[in-house]
Amino acid sequence: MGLRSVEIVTKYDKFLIVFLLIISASSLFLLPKIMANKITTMNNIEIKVNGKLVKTVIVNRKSQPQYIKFKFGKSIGIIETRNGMVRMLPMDKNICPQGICSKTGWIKESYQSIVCLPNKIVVSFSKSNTDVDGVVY
Amino acid sequence: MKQIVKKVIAILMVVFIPLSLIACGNNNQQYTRTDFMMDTVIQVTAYGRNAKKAVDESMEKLKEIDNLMSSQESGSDIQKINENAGKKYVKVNPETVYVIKTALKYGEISGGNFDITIAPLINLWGIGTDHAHVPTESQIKDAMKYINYKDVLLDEKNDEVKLSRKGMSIDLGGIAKGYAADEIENIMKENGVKHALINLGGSSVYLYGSKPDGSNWNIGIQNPFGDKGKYFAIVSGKDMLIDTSGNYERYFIQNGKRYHHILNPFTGYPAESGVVSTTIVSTNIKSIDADALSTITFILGVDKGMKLIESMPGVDAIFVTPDYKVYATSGLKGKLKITDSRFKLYENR
Repeated sequence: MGLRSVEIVTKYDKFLIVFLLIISASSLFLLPKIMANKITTMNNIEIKVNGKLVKTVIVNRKSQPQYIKFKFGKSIGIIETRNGMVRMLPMDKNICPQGICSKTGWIKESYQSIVCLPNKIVVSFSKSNTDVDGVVY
Repeated sequence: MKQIVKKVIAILMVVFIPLSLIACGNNNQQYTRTDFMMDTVIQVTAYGRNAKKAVDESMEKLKEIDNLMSSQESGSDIQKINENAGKKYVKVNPETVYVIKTALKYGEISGGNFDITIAPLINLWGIGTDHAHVPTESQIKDAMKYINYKDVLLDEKNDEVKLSRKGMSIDLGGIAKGYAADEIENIMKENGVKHALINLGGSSVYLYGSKPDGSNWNIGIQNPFGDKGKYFAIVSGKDMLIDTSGNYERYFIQNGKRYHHILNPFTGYPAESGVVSTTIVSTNIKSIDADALSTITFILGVDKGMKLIESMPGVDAIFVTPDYKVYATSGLKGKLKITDSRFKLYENR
């Protein structure tokens, strides 16, 4: 019961309070920046077959042409990416009779997607970062 | 020793208290699922604690509806009804009865322009399949003999349906998706979900609640002359449904002429009413109604379609004509923003 026990705020406590203040203040400003950067500098292209994610490809606006193969059923499809855009390469007529997916051409906006109905394939960007949340057609 | 323990505790607190704060702030979990059903791509996104459960239940329900109402699924109610055309009443699910009943109501409202007995004509043209072609005049005349929604007989008491003449068949493609959106809305409610975006095949979008941050959703409307995904206008809102019909959705080209998938039951040919797309926007009606109305307004065209929509409170429509003119009903003031300057807006002329 000495006088010393009355001393409630020790120097460690002061250190703790200042440290907490710095951490919370800086995270307030830094976190949104870090997150926004992540979204704008790169695009994730997702390939889904029958609703299941089979491949994710990271591209940015300056990326070199890439040809990415993915499996669906017993077949293999190929997407081509360049400059942040992606397109589906034509498939065999027996697998994709109408070729609507490859005729879609290049897509580059986050709300766009390539759909191959007969083979249940969707190619799309994973993050939306535009004016609209979707497009009705 | 005691000092060291205290220091360690202090450091741990410094690290974990801010972390826990961040974790608490993030109670808007997002869950999205994309499935292939109803002959198209379905995407449902929900936010909040029950997001995953609500979305999974929604997909289950869609599968159920598809199994009942698809004309492609063997053993569906629709196949059973079609197989027994001209023969006998068929017992079906009450949900199927409800959708057929609603479809017949819109047959009446549209003066026969919306007709689920159009199936023989749809099959003849085959638009959207790999055997799409322009049929001969006599083939079309023959198929049209079987079109009349008044020949669909409903026995609501016993949940039974009969097509009165042999050769008739029905297709709920123009309305089943709308019904599905209504059912998903109920599932979201039951699960206490406050924010969700329901996209059925791209042509039917339901904005459930607001965006998680409380703001309006923004939905682009397809530019009928541009690539898929290019929009000419934005509609903003919450608790709102948007349903589009366009001549660019499914079509084929023969001898340089384009034939789209919205067939006029009175001519037997793709509807030519001077519009390239119509969009229904509403915070008032059910999705099943909007699904039927977007097809009806497409067949009716600007003048008649506008008159019909203005007579329905809380329902709005956007018509686009081949010369880039956009006609919008009066209720869309402030909700519709043209983003492509080639399009000219004419509000409620």
